[in-house]
Amino acid sequence: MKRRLALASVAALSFTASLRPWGSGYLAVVAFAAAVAAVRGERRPARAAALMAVAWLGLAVPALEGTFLSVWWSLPALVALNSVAWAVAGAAHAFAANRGGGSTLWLLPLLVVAAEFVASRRWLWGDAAFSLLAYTQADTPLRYLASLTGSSGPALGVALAGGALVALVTGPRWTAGALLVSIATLSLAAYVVPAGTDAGSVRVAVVQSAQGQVARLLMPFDEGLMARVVAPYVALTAEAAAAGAELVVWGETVLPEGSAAVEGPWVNALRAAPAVVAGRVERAVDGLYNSVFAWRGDGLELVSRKQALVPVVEAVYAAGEPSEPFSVQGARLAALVCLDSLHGELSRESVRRGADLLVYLTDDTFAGRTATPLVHLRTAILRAAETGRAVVFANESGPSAIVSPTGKVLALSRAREAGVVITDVPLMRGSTPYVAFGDWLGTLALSAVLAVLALTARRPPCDVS
Amino acid sequence: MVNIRTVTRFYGLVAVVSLLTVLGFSAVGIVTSRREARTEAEAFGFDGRRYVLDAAPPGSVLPVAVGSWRSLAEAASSFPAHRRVEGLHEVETPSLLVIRDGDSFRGVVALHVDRTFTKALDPVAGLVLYRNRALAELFTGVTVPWPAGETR
Repeated sequence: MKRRLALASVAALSFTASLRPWGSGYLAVVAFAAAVAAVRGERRPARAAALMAVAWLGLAVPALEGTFLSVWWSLPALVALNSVAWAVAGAAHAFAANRGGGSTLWLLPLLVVAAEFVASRRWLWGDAAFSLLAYTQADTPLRYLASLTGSSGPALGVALAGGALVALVTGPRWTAGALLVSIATLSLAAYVVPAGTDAGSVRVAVVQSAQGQVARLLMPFDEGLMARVVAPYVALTAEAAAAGAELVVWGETVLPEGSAAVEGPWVNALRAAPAVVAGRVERAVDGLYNSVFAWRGDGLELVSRKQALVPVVEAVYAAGEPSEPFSVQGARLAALVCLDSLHGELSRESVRRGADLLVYLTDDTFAGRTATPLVHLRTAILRAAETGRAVVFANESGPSAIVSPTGKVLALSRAREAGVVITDVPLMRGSTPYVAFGDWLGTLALSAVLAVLALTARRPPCDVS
Repeated sequence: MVNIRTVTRFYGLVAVVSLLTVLGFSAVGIVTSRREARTEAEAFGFDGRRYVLDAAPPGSVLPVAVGSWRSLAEAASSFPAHRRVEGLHEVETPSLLVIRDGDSFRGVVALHVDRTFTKALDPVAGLVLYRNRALAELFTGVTVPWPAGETR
C-alpha cells in the first residue's frame, strides 16, 4: 500500500506543478501516469478511492487555495466535497477491475472523464468544475480537443497520454500504441473540423488597477479615498485609448454600487475611452445583482448579470439569466462574471445566441498571491478553445489576458500590478462541434462506464484477501 | 539484497515529502497573502473591528460629549428618548448607539448603516467604519435619535 500511496502522492505533486505559474501542463501527463500506476491492480474499492482522492489533491489545492483567504473553512470543505468525484472513479475502477472489467489503461481515463462530467453539472455540483483535469492543458496543444467536446476532450487526452506512458514502461506496448493513436485521431479531428469564420477584429484593452481590497471597500464612505481609487482608472483608460483601444474592459464590481446613473469622478474615467465595459453591484427593484454595464458616452447600459454565484459569500445576490449578446464597437460580446467562467455551458449558450467575443470580468483580489487567479485564467482559456471565440479576461487584481479563439494567450498582464493589456482581438462567427453538440464525449464516457459497471456487476469478484 | 523495510520506508518518505510539498506551495501563497492583507488593512487603522477613515483628535469629532457609563441602565437613563432595537438593521441614522467597551458602556454616533459597514463618529477613534459583524457584538440595542446637525 505504501508504494501505491507514494505513487498517488507523486501524482498529486505533479498535478500541482502543472497548475503553478512556473509549471507546465505536460506534467499532468506524468501525474496521471503515476495515478494509473497507483491504482492498477488495486482490488479494494475503498483503497482505490483514497488513492485517487490523494492524487486529485494536486489539482484541487492550487485551484481552491485562494478561498482559504476569504472564508478559511471553505478550502477543506470544498476539497472534501469535491474529492468525491475522483474517489468514486477510483472505487468504480477497483470494483470493475476486480470482476475482469478491462484494462486500467483504458478504464481509468474513461472513469475520470465520466466522474468529472457528472461533477461539473451545474444543477448537481457546479463548483467541482474549478478543479477539472482539463484546466491543466490550457498551455498545451491538448486544449484544442476542447473545441470538439468541451472540457472532457483535454481531460481524456491527458488521461490517455498518462495511460500510454505507463504502457510504454510496463507494457503491453500495443496498448501504448493504441492509446497514442486514439489521442492522435482526436487531435486530428480537432484540427480539421472548422472552428468558425473570421468576422473582423476590434482593438480591446483591459485595465487593472490592482489597488487592493480595503481602499475599494471603503471608497463609498470617503470622497477623498474615492478620488484616489478612481485616478488610476482615469490614467490607464486614457493610456489605452491613446494606444488605439476601441473598447476598454474593467474588472468585476469596479464601479460603485447603484442602479443606472454613475456620478462624480467615475464619469471622467469612463469618458476617457470610446466604450467601456465594467462590473458593478446593481441595485435593481427585484434585488441585488453582480452585473456588467457598458458605457458608450451617454450613460450606463446593463449588459448582463452574473449567473454562477459563489456559495455563501454571494448569498446576498440574485442570480442572473442568460442574456443576448451586446453590440458595441462592431462586436457582439457576451459578458460573464467570475465563476461563470467555470461553466462551459454558459459560454456555449452565449455563442449559440450569436456572441462573437467572450468577456469575463472578475476580481480575484481576495486570493492574494495564491495560484487560484492563474487557475481562474486557465478556465477562461479553455472557454476560448471550446467555443472558438476570443476571450477578454479582465481581472482587477491580475493576471488579465486577451486570448485568441484557439486558446493562445495574445496579451497578458502581471498579477498585483496596475497596468493595461491591449491588442487586436479577432471576432469569429460559426460553431465549433462543442457549441453545436455540447460535451458529447462526457455523455459517451458516462454511458460506457455505466455499461462496463453493469456488465461486471454480474460477475463474481476475485479474491481480494 | 534490498531490505524490504528500507523500501517501505522509502515509499513512505516519498509520500510524505510529496504531500507536504503540495501543501507547502499552497501555504507559502496563503501566508504571504495574509501578511500583505494585514499590512493593507493596518494602513487604514484596522483593529479587527473597524477601519479609521479620519483619525480626528479625541474629543474633536462631536460637538456634544456622548459620555461613558458604568451600566446599561445608567446609559439608558441618561437619554429619556432612547429606544431599543433588535439589531443594526433597525437603526435609523443618525443615531447614538450605546456599545460595550470592556466593563463599561459608551456611545458612538452611527451616520450610515449598509450591508457590511456602519459609518460612525467614535469619540475615541474619529470617523470610523465598523464591520457590522463586529459592531453587532458590541451593540447593546439601545439607540438615541441624534440631531443631524450635531455631527462634525
